[in-house]
Amino acid sequence: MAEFFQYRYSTSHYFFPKIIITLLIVLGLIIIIPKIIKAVKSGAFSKGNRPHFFVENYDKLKLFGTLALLILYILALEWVGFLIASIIFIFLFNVLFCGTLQPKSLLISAIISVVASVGVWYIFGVVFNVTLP
Amino acid sequence: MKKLLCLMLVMVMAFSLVACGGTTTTTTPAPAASEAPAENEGGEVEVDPAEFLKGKTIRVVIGSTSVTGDTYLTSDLVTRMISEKYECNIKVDPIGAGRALEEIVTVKGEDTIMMFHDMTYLGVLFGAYDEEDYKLENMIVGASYGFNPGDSFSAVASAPYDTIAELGQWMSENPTETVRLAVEAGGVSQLGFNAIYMWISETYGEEIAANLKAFVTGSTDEKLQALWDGNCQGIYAAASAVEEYTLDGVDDQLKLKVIGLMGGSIEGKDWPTFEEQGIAIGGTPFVFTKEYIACYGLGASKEFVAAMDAAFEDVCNSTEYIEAIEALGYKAQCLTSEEVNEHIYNKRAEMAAVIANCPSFDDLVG
Amino acid sequence: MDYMSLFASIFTLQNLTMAALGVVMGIIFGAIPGMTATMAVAVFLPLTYAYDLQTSLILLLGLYVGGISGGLVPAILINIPGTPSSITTCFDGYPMTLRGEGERALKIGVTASLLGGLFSLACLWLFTPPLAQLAIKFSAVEKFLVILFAMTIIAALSKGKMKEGIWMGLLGVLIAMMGTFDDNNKLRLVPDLFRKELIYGFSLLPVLIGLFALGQMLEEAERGMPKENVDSAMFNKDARKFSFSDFKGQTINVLRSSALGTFMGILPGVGGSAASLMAYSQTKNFSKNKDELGKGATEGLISSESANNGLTGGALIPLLSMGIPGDSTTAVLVGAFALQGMSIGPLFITKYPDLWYTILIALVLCNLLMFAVMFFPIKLIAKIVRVPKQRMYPVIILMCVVGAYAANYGVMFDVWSLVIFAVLGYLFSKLKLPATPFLIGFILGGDLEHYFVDALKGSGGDLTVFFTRGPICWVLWLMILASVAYAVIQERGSKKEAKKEAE
Repeated sequence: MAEFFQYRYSTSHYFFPKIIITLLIVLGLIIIIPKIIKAVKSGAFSKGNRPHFFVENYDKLKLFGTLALLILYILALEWVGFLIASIIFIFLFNVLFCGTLQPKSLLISAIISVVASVGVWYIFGVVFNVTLP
Repeated sequence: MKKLLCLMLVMVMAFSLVACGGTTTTTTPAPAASEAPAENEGGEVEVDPAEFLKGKTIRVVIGSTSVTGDTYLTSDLVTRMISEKYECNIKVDPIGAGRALEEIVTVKGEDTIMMFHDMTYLGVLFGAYDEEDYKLENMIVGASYGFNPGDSFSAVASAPYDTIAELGQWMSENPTETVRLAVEAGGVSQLGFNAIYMWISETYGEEIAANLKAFVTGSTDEKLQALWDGNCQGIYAAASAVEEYTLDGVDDQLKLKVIGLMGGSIEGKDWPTFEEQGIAIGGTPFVFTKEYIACYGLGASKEFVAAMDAAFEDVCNSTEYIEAIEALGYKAQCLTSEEVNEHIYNKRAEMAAVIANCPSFDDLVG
Repeated sequence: MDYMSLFASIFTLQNLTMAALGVVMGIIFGAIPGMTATMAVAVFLPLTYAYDLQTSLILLLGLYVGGISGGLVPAILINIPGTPSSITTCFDGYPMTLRGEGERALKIGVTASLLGGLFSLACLWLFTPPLAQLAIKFSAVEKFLVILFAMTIIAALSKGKMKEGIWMGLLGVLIAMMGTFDDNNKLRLVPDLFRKELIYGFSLLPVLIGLFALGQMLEEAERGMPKENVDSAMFNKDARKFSFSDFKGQTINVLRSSALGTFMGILPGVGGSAASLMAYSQTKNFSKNKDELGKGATEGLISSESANNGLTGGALIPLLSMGIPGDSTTAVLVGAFALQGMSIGPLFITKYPDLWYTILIALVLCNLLMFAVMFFPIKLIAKIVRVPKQRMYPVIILMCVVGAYAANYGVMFDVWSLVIFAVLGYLFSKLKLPATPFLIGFILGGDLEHYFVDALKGSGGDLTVFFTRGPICWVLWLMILASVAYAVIQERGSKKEAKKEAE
C-alpha cells in the first residue's frame, strides 16, 4: 500500500492522480451502495418506474439539430474559414431555433448572422489582430 | 411538418457546404509544395523579399505560452520589424512547445511558421517529445535572429559560495550537505544542471556529486519562491530576470547573486561564466548559448525560405533592431538558413553526447 | 518628487481617453462569454508599443479593472459566467433577474465591484511591504491548504447532496490533471488516440463556457427553445428597485469579501477565481439567512463581486514589491514593462516612484470610470434579457467559438472541447449531478496538485510536513476543519428537515 503511494520522479505524474482516483472510488461506493440497497428493497428495477431521461415531448429536432450543427460548424471553420462558415451557420442556428421558414424570420436571421459574423471578424480579427479559426 | 422541412433545409445546406469545402481543399493543393522538392539542394534562389512578402499574412507559433518570456519578446520584435518593413502581417501566437512542434511538422504551406530556440531539439533529446514525430529533420530550419547570453544559475546572496566552482569545492568540504538546484525538466536548464553534475562528479567524485539534486519546477517566479522558501539552494534563470534581485538595496531575504553563466560573459557585468570557472566535461569546457531560430514546414518553398532569409538579414543588421533587442537583454545575430542548418545539427550532436553521458533525472531529483 | 507635474502628466487628454477606452473594452471582453480580462490585456499588449510606459499602463490597468468587472453582466442576466471569477455571481444574481430585479442586481454588483476595487487599492497603497512579507511566508504547504480551504465551498454549495458534490469536485480535479505533467514532461490520463490534442489537457475557458453556456443551450433546445426568453415575472413592474441602502448591514460582508479577494490576489500562483469562491463560502458560513443564499440574496452577490475586484489591487502587491505577479492577468501585465525594456524587481517602487504613483492613480481613475461606465447605462444593458433566446443563442455560440479558439492563441481543439463539455454539462444536469463542484474542482485541481507535489518534493516525501510547518498551517487547518464541520452540520439539518417534510 505504502509502495503504491510512494513519490518518485519518474512516476510523479501519476502520484496525485492515484490519490484522487482512490478517493473517487471510495466515495463513489459510499454513494452508490446505499442507493442500490434501497433500490433493490423497493423493487425500483421494475419497468415503468424509471425516471425519464428527456423531458416530456422533448424537441428532438432542436436538440439533435443543435448538436449536429455545432459539429458541422467547427468542421466548416477548418475548411472554409471563419467568416463564411460563421455567416452560414449562425444563419442556420437562427433558422433552427426559430423553427419557421417565414420570409420575415429568414430575413432577420440573415441580418443577424451577417452583422454578428462580420462584426466579430472585423473587430477581433482585423482591429485586434486576434487569430481566428 | 414544417419543422421537419426546416431541419432538412438546414442539414442539406450544411452538408453541401461542408462537402464543397472538402473538395476545394483536395483539388487545389498548395502549389508551393509540389514545386519545391526538398531534395533539390543546388542552385541559389533569387527572390526579392519585398515583392514576395508584401501583403502576406503569416502566423508564427512559438514554443512558449508566456507573453513575457524571451521567446515571445524576441520573436515579436523581429516579426514586428519585418511586418513594418515589408508591409506584411506576421502575428506571434504563444501556443506552447508541444503544440508548436505539432503545428510545424504537420503544416502544409507557409502560412504558419515556428520561432523557437534550442529547445526544438533539446526537448526531443531529453525524451519530452517523440523523436519520430518532432526531430529537426521533420522541418526546415530557417534563419537565426538572435541569442540569449543570460542562461545562468543564481543562489541566495548569503550562500557560502560565489561561483559554481566554489560550490563544488564547498560541497566536497561538506559531504553531508545536500544542494538542490531548481530547474525545468527537458530544456536548457536541465542541460546546465547536467553539466554541473558531470563536472562535480569528474572533479570531486560521484559521492559528492550525489549530493547535488535537481528540484524540478516551472517558471522563474516559482523557482524564486522555492529558493526563498528554502526548498532549493540555487536556481536556473535568465540573467535579465534575476538582475533586479542582485542590486544593492534589495532586502536580504530576497537578494540573489549570479554564480555561473552558461554562455559567454556579459558586458558590464562581473558574472563568472562556466568556462572561466573551468566547468568542463571530459576536459572540454562547457559553453552553451541559447539561439533563436525560425523553422518552416517541410512544404515551404525555396523562394519562401530565401525571402525570409533576406528579410531577417535586412532587419537583423539594422541598428534599430540591434538596439531594441539589447534593450530587452538579448543579442542580435544574423545567420541564414544554410548557416543555421549546419550549425544547429552540429550543436545537436554535441549536446546529445552530454546528455547521453549523464544519469537521467530519475536519479537526480530528490 | 513633484506631485503637481506628475498629476499633470497623468491627467492628459490622451491618458484619460486611454483609461476610458481600456475600461470600456475591458468590460466588453469580460462580458463576452469566453473572453477574459487576461485575454483583453494580452490582445492590447502589442498595441502599447506606440505609447510610453505611463500611457500603456493606464490603458492596461483599465482593461484589467474593466475585464474583471464585466463578467458580472452575463452572469446576472443570462446565468453564464463571463469569466471564471464570476461563477459565484450567477448563484444569486440570476435568481434576482428571474424575479425581475435584473437592474437592481446589476447595480448592486457594480457598486460592490467598486467597493472591492477601492479596498484592495487602499491595501496596495498603504500596506504593500508588510503584505508582501506575509505573502512569501506562504510556501507550497500553505498554498496547498489555502486551495483546499477554497475547495470547501463545494461542501457548502451542495446542500443536501454533499457526497455527490464532493465526488463531482474530485472528478473535476481528475479531469484537470489530464495532459502533460510539467515536472517530468510525461503524458497521463489521456487515451493514446488523443495524445496530440490533449498534450496540455483541457483548457479552462472552453470547459467553463461549454459546461455553462452551451450546456444550458442544449437544455433549452430540448425544450424547443421557447420564444419568450423569460417568465412574465422578469418584467414585474413592482420588483424591488436599487437603492444604496441595499448595502445597509453589509459592511462586514464587504470588508471580509474584499479582504479575502485581496489576499488571494497577493498569493502568487493561486488562481484568481479562487477569490470569489472563498469569499462566497465564507459569506454563506457567516450569514444569518443561509437558506436565502443561492436564491437571490444580495449578500451573496455583494460578496462575489467585491471579492473578484478585490483581486486587482492584491495581485499587484507581489508584482510591484517583488516582481512576482499575483495572478494570470498581472503576469501578462509584466509584458508591458518587458516590451519597454524594463524589468520589475524588488526595487521597483523605490526606483520608479513616478510609475508607482501612476499605477495607484490610474487604478483609482479606472475603478471610478468602471463604475460610471457601467452604473448609468444599466437600464439599457438590462434589456438584454428581452432579446429572444432564439436570436441570442446563435450569437452566443459565435462568441464562445471565438473565445475558445483565441484563449490559447489559436488552438482548434479548444473549440472541440467546447462541444465535449456542452454535452457533458447537458448530461450532468440530466443525471442531476451538480456541475458547479465539477468546475470548481477543475479550476483548482491543477494548483492543488502542483503545491501538493511541490511541498512533498521540498520535504523529501514526508507527509507530516503539512502539519508541522508552523502556525500559519495550523490556522489554515482549523479553518478547513471548521468549514467542513459546519457544512456537515448543515447537511444533517437539511436532511432531517427533508425527512420531516416527506413525512
